[in-house]
Amino acid sequence: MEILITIFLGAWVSAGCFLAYRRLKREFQDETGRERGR
Amino acid sequence: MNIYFGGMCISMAAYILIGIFISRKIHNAEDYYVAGRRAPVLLIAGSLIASYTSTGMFMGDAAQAYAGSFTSMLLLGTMQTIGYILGAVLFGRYLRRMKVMTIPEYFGKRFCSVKMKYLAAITAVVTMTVYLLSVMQGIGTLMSTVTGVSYALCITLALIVFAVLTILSGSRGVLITDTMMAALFTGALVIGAIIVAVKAGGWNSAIAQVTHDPATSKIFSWGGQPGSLYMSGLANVGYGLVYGIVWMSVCMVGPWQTSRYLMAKDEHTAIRSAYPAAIGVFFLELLCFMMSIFVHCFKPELESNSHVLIWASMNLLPKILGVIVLTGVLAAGISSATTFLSLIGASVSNDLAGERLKKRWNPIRLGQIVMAIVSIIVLLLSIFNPPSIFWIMFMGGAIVASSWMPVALASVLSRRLTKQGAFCGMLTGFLICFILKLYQGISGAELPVYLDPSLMGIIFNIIVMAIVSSFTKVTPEEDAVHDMMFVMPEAEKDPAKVKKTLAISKWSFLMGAFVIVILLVLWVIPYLRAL
Repeated sequence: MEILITIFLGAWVSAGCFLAYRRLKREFQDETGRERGR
Repeated sequence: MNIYFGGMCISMAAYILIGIFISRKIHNAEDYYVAGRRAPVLLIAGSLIASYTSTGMFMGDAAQAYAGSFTSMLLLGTMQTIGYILGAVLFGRYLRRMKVMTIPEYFGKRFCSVKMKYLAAITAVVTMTVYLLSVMQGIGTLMSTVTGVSYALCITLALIVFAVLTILSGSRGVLITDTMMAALFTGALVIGAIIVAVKAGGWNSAIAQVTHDPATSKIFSWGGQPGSLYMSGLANVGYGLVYGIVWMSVCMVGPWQTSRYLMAKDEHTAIRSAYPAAIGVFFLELLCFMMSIFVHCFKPELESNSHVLIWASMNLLPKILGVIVLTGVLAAGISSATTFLSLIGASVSNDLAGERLKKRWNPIRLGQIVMAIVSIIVLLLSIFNPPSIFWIMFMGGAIVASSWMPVALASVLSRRLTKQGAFCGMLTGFLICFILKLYQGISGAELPVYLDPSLMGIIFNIIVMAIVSSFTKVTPEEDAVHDMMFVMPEAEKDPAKVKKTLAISKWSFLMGAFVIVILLVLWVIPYLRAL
């Protein structure tokens, strides 16, 4: 169970970081795309 | 005067001198309330860590870990760290684009509603006053235990220091002293934890000793020591999960955290500073829990569990290091107190004060008067209230999570949220959490973990927000503001900055692997070997 808790916490942190990255990437790409379109 | 009191007095005198020095560089309200909006990553990250880390952690969390709730506190301490990153990305940078001085002002602008601003300001002032009170009590308990000087005199002395520092230097001074204090207590805690572990025969040996003692054998197990929070291991884990989510919400949208993003030089600075803050808080919490539990190797029972790190500093560390650790704990308390006091001043003078008051005094003077009055009220409340740091502190965090978090996130992510929905949701979350917490406090009743006031507040906030929004309409003004929030300022589009921020964000998933390795090496493997 201690190992499970450790893996859960690692996965929780990675999932949060991944969510943040996906959001940033999408928004920055939208902006760059708009710039190119102009 | 003993050596510990001497160290504390020297450090407090230094903070006041720094405050006086920085006050000369304050030229306008932006300098005073949002540090001129040009703070770098180091100051934002340092202040994020310092404003989270207070006597609540060094005394409240440490006491819980010593009592046996290691896994619950570890779940809470690790889960919450992601709140910094999600808060900066999903809320903080949009907040910056509104060019506001305070978070309540953001809510008012976002929903084109003065009522919304008032409600957010009132919840912010209540929460931060409660939190300030808990920090004051922590500082008073720390100083009087260490020095033997009366509790009332100690908190008066500490209050004079942080009130003078905050009133003189505003948020610019708070950012600089916060970062200095964060460096001080981080260094002190790292060295302190290592020395206590070495004195117990080494890190692994300390874990083995605690595990082999029948009285503490369950502390490092997944369910924790029965009775430290709940009798069942599952309930203890449930507590950690619930409060992990609650405190993640606090780190995402809490005014003492998100206000830092308003002070950052740009959006990239706000985002990048969230990563070191998340790692820093995780590390500090883990070391704080471990050092507290290792004290069992030397002192199986203490008169008051919240004195565990004070006892360790005075009895296990070399004198000079003990002085540094205790000065660091005091710094953690003062740094949080300066943050809360400056935010209360900003909220009252910027969001709640009437036009007549605003005309009579300039924004800086008005904020200074408010801070002075709040300091006196908090001093009186602290003197007449018994110390119960842990639970009072949790009330502050719980209210922010239940009243602000759903509305703050939906204000960015949803186009359908109306001003009425946001207002009713925030009010419901606040009232449910506040009333249930008050009921618990007065009656002493213990609610099951799944009926926790903050969790109930969050759930009802979301339900009410959704129902009321479905019966009301978003006005064209609200729609326009929402659209405006998604227009990235030209200055933020610099390709080099975008590339760097994306690279940091891309590789940040490794933080999860880092957490796993650290916990395996410092907790799981030594514990399983000791069984």
